[in-house]
Amino acid sequence: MADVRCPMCGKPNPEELELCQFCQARIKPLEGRSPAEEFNSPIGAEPPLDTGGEQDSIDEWLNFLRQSEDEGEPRPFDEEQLADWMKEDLDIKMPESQEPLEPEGTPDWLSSLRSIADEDAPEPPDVEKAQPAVEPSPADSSEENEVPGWLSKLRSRRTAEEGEADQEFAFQLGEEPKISEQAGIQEDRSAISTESVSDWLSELRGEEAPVVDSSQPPELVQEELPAGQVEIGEEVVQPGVGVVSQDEDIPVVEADRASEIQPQTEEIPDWLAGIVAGGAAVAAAEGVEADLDNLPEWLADLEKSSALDREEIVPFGEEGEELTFDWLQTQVRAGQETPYGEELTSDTLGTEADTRGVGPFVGDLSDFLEEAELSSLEAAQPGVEQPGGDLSPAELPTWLEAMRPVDAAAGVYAIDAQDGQVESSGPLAGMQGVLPAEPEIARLKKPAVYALRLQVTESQRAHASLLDELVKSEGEPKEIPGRPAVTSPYLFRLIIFAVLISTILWQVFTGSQTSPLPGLMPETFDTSEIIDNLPENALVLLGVDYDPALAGEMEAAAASLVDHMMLKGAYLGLVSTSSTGPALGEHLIATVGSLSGNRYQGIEMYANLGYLPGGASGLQAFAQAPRQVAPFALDPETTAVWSNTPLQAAQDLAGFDLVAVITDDSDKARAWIEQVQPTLNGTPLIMVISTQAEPLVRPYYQANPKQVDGMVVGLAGGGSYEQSHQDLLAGNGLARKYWDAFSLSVLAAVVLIAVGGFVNLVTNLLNAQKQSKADKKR
Amino acid sequence: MKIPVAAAIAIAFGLVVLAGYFLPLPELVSLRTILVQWSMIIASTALFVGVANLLRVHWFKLRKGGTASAYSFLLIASLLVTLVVVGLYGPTGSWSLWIFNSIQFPIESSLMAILAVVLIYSAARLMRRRMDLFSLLFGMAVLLVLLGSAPIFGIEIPFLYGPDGLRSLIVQIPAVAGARGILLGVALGTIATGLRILIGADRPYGG
Repeated sequence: MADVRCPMCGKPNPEELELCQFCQARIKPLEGRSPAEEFNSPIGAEPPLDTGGEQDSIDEWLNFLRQSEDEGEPRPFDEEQLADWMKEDLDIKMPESQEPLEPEGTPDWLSSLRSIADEDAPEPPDVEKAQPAVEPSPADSSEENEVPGWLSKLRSRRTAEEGEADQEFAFQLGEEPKISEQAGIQEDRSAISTESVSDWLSELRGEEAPVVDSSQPPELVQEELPAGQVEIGEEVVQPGVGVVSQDEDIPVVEADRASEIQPQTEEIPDWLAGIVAGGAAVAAAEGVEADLDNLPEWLADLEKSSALDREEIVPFGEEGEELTFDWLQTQVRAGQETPYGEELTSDTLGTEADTRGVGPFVGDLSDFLEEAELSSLEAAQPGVEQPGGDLSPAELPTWLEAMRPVDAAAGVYAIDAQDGQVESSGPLAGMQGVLPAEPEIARLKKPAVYALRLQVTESQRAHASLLDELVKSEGEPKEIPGRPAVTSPYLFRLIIFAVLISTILWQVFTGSQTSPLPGLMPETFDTSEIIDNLPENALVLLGVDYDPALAGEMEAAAASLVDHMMLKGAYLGLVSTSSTGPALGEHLIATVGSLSGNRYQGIEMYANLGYLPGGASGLQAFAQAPRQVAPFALDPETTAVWSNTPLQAAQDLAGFDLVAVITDDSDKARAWIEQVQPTLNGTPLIMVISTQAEPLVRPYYQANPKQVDGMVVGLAGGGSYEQSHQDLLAGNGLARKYWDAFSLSVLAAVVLIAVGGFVNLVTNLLNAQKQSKADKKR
Repeated sequence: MKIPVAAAIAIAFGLVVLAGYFLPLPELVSLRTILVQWSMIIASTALFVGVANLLRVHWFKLRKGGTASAYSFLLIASLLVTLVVVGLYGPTGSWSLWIFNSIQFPIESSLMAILAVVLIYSAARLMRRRMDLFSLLFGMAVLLVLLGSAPIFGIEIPFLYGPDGLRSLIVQIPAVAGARGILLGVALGTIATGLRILIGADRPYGG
């Protein structure tokens, strides 16, 4: 035998068990059980959901009930799971057919009822056909353990009323399940009413049936009923309340509901016909004629007894506390206070369901069935039963079928269709019918239909089209307008080049030196005076701090000066803060030597001390300690100039007789002036500078005291120096060579700038006028 | 807390050098001289680092290929050749000077010659690009200074050329005035920069 593992405790159980023998947890799911299993289920357990709510399943269920009634099979009752009062109820049914289950547990009032039934009934009722449809809730079962107040009150009441009241009370109790059935599942109303009636009620039926006057046709009675209400005796069926007194508000039953009931009354049993007849008699009190003589005898007795006790117990549910059940009174009041249609909590719903007798079904039905049931309860149609044997195949009433939320039912069915799956993992392993994780996804709904066409206004459409055109135009290739090969700027640059190169070529080919050199300038004169005053074998520190790009200007300005110093027999020490300075110094010395015709040997005539890295810091270091910063010359022998040359006489820069700086950069000139000049201690500082550096160096020259003792500025300064010392460079100075070409080039530059500027100015003005005219036209 | 070691060293050395100027103590002067010489060594090292970085960058460009790799190859080849020649013959060697006089000197002079053409063209286009009063003043100053720089076909323009001419007036008064202002600004900026470095507000050395 295969064992089934409990999903809760995990222990194996026999396959046929529904509950775990260890933890009492349910092993087999409730759904999908047959009606027979439904009856075997413990009282108070959850009834199965209507898996689909389809007519077929209902029909099967009803057919099963009919078959059970027809075959007279004893219901497979699990008596141990029944509530005590149900067991007692069974005791009433079982005296002849079966052995009493627990005779000692039978309440007194039921015993009295049983005795009355035994005395009045000529034949025992067919208890086998009675099916308990009302299953008390667990709450009711729990109340059974305690002695309920209603029971004690009932006992006292019965003692006081000496039996007749008991009979009437039993009648009330006997009617209550029927009312519950009316409020229950409507499509199964007739069948359930037949099967849900308690056994003791069946007994009552059995004794009542012969009493009913069969000569009174039910149809006639039914026709005499008022259209708006149906009364049973003096009590009135009120939804949610049960049986209430006539003094209470009488629920109104719709006329069409009454008309629906009518065809069913044709098939009602005799005993129920008598009840209906009794109801007709009560209705007569409201103005409808009723033939009291046609009432059955037992109903007449009930009428009498109820008339006697009306003042005491008739206000059912209100002030008859000593005569009614506490729990029922509570529920009645709750039902009165909480009308249908308002929110019903699970508690109130359960208690009301208990009161109506349909408790186990209401709370566990699916939503749509529950709503349908509540709606039916609102309608409060009085119960009309049909004998089980004559039942026609149950069909859903049209009104109930119309009330069914088909879509919701379809959705639920779509979800429940997956309930057959058994969880294979997790804490719910082994359980069936677990809610799927995607109920919203599985819900069958028609997708919302949206219009595909965007609703836009005309202006929005126009803007959109405009934007679309713009975007498309961006993607379209555009033809790039061809540029002319020769443009005015290009032509103008060619003209400038041609003019300038022509002046140079004219000077080269003609060798003209017609333009007079500039006269002696003050700064040039001061420089010449300083050099002229140099002692013999003077030590001159020559700073070569210009770039090769401006070497043409700087060499033309400095060549005569260097030649002047060399002729004075000065020993030159070349130093530079530029990396190209040592090479430029060599180039300068070579140029001067070539121009003058003198040969200036390397270490004998001058010493190239090389490059001073660090810019101003290098100059500062060299000014403080020249022997340490530049100890060697750059000649091939790397001579230690400070010990083997005339420079050994100079311990520092102050030991030099002259410091001359050749530079094209104002910053370098400023560095020399600021870093070196303070350490010279009277040694003159002269500068050969480019024309572009003149404005920044001249203030040092014009200062008082002068920080720069003499200047030679540019080509004009060199020409002026050559003009003052015409013997220098053998009268073949660079300034003289360049001066005619320079003057002509300056003139050409002036003309080009002036003409070009004028043309551009006129062109600009014309364009501005055209633009203004165009703007005015616009 | 991170200790600004670099800033502390920079401030300390700056204060020592500055104190060496104001306090003629032999120890401070010698210390200042040593520190300044160190700066030259550091600058030389930086020059080598720059050359090495230049070689590295163009080496990667050469390996990457493309049209620009030819220029990288030319640069690397020139660097190596010059390094080898100068290393063998010294900076004032004949071959070293040949490289300088035959390659670097003409190239840089040619670039300056091109600058002359560009400056003339730009001055002429100034009236088209920006026609306002200051452009007119600039153009007129350029023309006057150029005309006063040299005699035209041997003719010295009296009011332009010479020490008392308009050109000398423009160069020595407005230009020198502007240059003095620039020098004052540079001096103040140098002082401010030195003070900021001394107090640690500026840290050009990083950290």
